[in-house]
Amino acid sequence: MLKSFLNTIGNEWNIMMKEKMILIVILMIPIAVNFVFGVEFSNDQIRNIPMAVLDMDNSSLSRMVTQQFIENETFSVRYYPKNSDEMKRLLDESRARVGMIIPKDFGKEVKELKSPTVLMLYDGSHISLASTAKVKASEILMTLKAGTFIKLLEGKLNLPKDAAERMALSIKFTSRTLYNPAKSFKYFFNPGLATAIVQTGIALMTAVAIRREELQRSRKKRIGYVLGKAIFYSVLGTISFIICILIQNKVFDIPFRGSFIGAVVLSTALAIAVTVFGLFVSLVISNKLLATTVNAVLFIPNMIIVGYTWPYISLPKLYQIVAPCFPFYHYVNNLRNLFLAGEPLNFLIKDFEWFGIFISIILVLLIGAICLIKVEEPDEDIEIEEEGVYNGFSEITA
Amino acid sequence: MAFLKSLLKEIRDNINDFTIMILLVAGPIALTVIFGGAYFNTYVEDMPIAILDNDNSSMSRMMVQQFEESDRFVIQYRVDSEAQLKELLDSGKIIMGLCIPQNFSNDVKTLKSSEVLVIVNGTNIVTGNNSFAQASTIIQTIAAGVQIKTVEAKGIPAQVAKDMVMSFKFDDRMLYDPRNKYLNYLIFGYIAVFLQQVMLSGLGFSILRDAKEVAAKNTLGKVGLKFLACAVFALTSTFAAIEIAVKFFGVPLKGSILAALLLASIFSISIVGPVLIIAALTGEKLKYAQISFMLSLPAFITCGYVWPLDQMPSSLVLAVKLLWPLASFARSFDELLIKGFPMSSLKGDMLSMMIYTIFWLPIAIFIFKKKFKRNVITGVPKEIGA
Repeated sequence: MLKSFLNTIGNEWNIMMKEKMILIVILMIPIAVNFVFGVEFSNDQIRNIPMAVLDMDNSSLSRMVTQQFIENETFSVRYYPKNSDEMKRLLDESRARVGMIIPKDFGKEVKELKSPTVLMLYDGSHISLASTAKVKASEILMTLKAGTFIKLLEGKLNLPKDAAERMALSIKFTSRTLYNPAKSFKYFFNPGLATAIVQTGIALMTAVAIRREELQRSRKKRIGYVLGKAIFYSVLGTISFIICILIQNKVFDIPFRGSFIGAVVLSTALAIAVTVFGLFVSLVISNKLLATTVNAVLFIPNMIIVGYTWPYISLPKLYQIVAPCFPFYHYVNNLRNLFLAGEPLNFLIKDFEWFGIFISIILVLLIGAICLIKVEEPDEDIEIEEEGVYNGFSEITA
Repeated sequence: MAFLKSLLKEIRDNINDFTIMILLVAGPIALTVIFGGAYFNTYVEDMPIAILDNDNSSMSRMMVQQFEESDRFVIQYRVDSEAQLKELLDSGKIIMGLCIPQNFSNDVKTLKSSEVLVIVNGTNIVTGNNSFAQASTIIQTIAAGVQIKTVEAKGIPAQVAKDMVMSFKFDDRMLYDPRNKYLNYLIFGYIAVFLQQVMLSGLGFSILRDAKEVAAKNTLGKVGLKFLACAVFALTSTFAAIEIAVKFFGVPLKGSILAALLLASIFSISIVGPVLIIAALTGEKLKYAQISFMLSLPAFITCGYVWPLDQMPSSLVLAVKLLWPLASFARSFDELLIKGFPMSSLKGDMLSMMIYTIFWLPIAIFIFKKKFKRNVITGVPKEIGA
């Protein structure tokens, strides 16, 4: 068994070095993609959202409102349409994503306590832009409103400035955002994206890793063979996970506040879980293209359905039941918490337990299946590595 | 006539190929149902929060009551200290904590400007933003009520007090998608990626099925036939997926389906270049599938859907647009369908995809022919996956 185990690892290594496909899919593409994602989100926050202002008042107050938007880096006031039709056209054609309409006599009506209305228009077809713009615009307008209220109190009630301020700010609302105070999209997305691509690579390569023609009659050798595969891909996958985590942390400055050892152990657990599952699929589905497609369909959408971006609590019930069956569910939010919140290791215990159970069950099924499978070839010690590289891919049929 | 005969043969070959048919026909529909289902709930609701009420006055209880009655929150914990609150946030058990200070009610009444603190777990921006926005609305509404009462207490009539507090109002209007649903935002982008993936896989498998024959002569014509035999299925299932999104998930549709078909067809043609290049580089179906599946995530993330193109470094945008056509398609496709984007606004992206095709297709055919013709001549034993 040990010989078979070591032979398998050696053989897989040879295939990787000669064929390069394992190297490309599990290591090279994830590393390249990690650099692309890091550069893509280098802006962190959404800035310079194109904005149009229709100021029908042109008073000092309305110009002050516009000025606040001009000075804010979230907005880029690029258009001054002459009427609402022109404003609509700018939004329809996506040249502007935000519009502000200040009504006629705005300044005058504020002084006369007629409570005029500023109309904010957001392009709801792009939710990231719309929500960022809405939060920032509300902040600006609320501040302006408080300032106007204070001035009215001073003017109408003859209050001194500090008394007017206390009255206007009788309840102050302050907020503190923990772990990602700047609301960086890079911090939010990249820990998951960086590792999802590695998981996909492991799932795709393990889906074709078991080659039936390599199986021998001796059950012990078969167990050694499958364990050799499991160790090889798990180690390779773990290395890739760690490199990608380091790229995000060291190159793209995403803070890693938790235990790095914890991330390594967690990544190892995910690599083993995906590997043994992938090998099991490879064993039970002999058509390699179909096995690859099955693993692709199971693992590629993980980012969406395990509650990483769209939160788990908002998933429909069926998805809430299914999501915890995926190893990535027990990994990705924990990893982001290790990055951003410095999650203590004891919070991971339940997920480690889950990985332990999942890996044990799949491993038992895998070993059971490999022992039960019928082998046609005579029981010979096939020293595949001496033959050079076994070209498993040439055997593939649709 | 010969053209139609050849086309029918290609379509028949595809129908007989189980993998290709599953990809082309079931792929976009099944994936739309799976992905759409994940976003079926409109809003982020029932976010677990904790309350630290250091005042326990009628005013503070009224504020807590407002949070209790909001659909967005579920009060899971009532704690006695900020440390407990922090522990709950650290452990991920709550998304937000509300701290009402001691003497809150008294301070408000005596105009000592009391401060309500909201602490948000910002690791997930979606829940962080939603909880912050809702908490802000509740507290600002209560604050406005208090301000009106304070002004009234100075002998000002109620309506005047209200007009003073509401010195001006601002109304928000969310255009094109008033409910601002994540499902509506994402689904057409996903469908665009599904079309890319099924064309990439289906056409790639179909070409690799007869790679030597395709490379031998009249490559453009043969690729064209294979393209049509795949596109007819891929585009039909893509538009069936759009129909499901609209009818079943209630996604608004304002644009012209014909214009969308035109845009999707131009995009599908532009995918032919990458298909031929990847086919030539990988040489057989399995490796081809592995590479094309690996490209799906980066292609989607860099196409300007999740993170707008104008927020990316311009050099990256240029590289992405030079190498892959999805960035010229996904957002336009979505905005055409959701907003009813006018044709004039689509011209730029259509032109960009056409230039992409004109640039890459001849190069791709050259590389493809070189690879597979060489294999025929030298008799390299590495067979193409049949």
